[in-house]
Amino acid sequence: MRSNTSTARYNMQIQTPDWQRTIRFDAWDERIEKRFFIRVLAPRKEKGTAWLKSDKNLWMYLPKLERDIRIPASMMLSSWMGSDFTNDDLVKMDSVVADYNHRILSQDENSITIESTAKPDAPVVWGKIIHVVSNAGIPLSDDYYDEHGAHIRHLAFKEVQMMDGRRIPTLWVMQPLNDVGKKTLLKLEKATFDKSIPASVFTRANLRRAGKNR
Amino acid sequence: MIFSLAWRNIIRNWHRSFVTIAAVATGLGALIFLWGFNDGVHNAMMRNLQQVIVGSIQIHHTDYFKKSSLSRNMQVTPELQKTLANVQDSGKIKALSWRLDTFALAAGDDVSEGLVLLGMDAKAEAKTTRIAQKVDQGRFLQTGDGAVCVLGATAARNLGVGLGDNVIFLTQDRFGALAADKFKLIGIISSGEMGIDRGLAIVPLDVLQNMLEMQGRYTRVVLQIEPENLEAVTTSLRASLNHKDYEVLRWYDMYPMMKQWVDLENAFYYIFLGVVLLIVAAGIMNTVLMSMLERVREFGVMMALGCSRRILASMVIVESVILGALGVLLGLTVGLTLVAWFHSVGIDLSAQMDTVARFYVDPIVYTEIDSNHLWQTAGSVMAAAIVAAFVPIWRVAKLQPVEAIHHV
Repeated sequence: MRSNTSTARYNMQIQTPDWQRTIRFDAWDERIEKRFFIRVLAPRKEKGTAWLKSDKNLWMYLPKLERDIRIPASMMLSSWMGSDFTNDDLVKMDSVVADYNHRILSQDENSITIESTAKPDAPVVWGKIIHVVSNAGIPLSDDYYDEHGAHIRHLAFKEVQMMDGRRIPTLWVMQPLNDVGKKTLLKLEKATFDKSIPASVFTRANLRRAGKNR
Repeated sequence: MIFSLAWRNIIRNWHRSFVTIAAVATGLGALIFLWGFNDGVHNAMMRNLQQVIVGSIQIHHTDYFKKSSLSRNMQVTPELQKTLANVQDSGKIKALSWRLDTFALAAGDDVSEGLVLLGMDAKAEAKTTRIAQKVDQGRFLQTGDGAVCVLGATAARNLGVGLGDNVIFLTQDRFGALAADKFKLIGIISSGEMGIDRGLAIVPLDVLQNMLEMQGRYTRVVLQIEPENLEAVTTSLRASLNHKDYEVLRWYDMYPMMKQWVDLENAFYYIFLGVVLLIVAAGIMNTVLMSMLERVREFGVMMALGCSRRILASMVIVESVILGALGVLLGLTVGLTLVAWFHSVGIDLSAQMDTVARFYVDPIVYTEIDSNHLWQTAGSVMAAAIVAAFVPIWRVAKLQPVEAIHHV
């Protein structure tokens, strides 16, 4: 999981009691600069929709209207593409280490349980996150709690496989606990790590191009 | 005999009687007018809340109000249609409108903001609410409009858009897929209500239904009902609609703040008017007591002639009741005339009010009085007038004829 850059293709399945749908997308991720780029491949209605995170801003491109839109802070907790992941999950993916205090809750022969509590002034949305990580360093699950200590959602990491020389979980299952019958399965189809990505990928010009090329 | 004695005493010294009646009447008239002002402000606030956009009663899919989601939508089922038609036939529903609303991201040229995207049917809404009158630039929706929108003034300013500009709304349709469209801005609302001015975009119902894959589906139906029918209609709707499918919410179930505010203010008013009532009672007691003291000699003569203390006391009681009743009648006339007069003319307070408050409180207050407030006040003043007579009665009962005759 820990790499400086990654390029990956995901298949995201959203399940609800009323409907179910699948979104495929490509993602370019550059950890050091904290920027990423996402382009939706399917379904057809949303094809070419693209997301860019750069300089703490989140942009979205709508191919149908040929417009890019900046997602404001007030929309960060809104669902991303109808899934159980939020816009904030995209933007803040890396800030857990810096914005939370960590301590080991328990440890056995298989795994370590780590509790991350939000620092008092940290601009984060979760009050507490409990991570379970295997002794081999592979994440098993994350549980998210709000500032009142209520358990909001459970993220399970499954199907550990070799991918581009790394053993990583390839299926992430996000389960919101206040929404019965809803869950999102994020499947990693392929990935390459630590291959340098041209800086031009992470630009608004590329957002617009992404829509036109496809 | 006692009554005619008392009555003669009253008309014999009409000057003194008139002062007592005037004291009661002035006090009551003032109290009624104060209630009239208070109730006028409160009822206007509650009417404004209901009539501008919220309605008196809303029906949603169960739990929609707490956890809104497009999956909790309503279709015009025979059950719903029959229930609504029944209440409508009874004449208790003045008007109703079906709406569809969801959260959306609105984007202008450079800025974007989250807000509520509300689909309204222009024709039904005109009969149900007064939102169209709050448009102060451009116009409200009309039947047959295409992709147009009406925005709150603050939202339009934040997005940096003006009349004729395009606004993009980005949201999810019923199946969670991305739904985005361009809408031409045709009207700007400034209502003075923050929620409306900064967080609302109104678009034609049919356009929004298509955009969200919600053809034939709605998220709420808004009913406009006279306040006196509110509880009865709520009860009958709740009885005939299945709890598992529908929730029936009164305006104050959804927005309890205002009702709580009115209740709190009324509680303060009761305390305030209680103090005023004490002052009024003291005034009445003063005039009654003075008129008794003037007559101590006269009472002494009556007792010397063989009139018992009981008859004397009863006479004074009857006098007080008659004076109190006349005072209350006059007070009611004066108070209600004042309330009626200012109900039609209004009291212009626009100079004292800032624009922010104007959504709820009209700058011109039209007085009106709730009947329970009216009867409580009239009853209290009558009681005060009678209680005020107890001190003189008690003194009369203790009088010694010889001392009384010599009383100066």
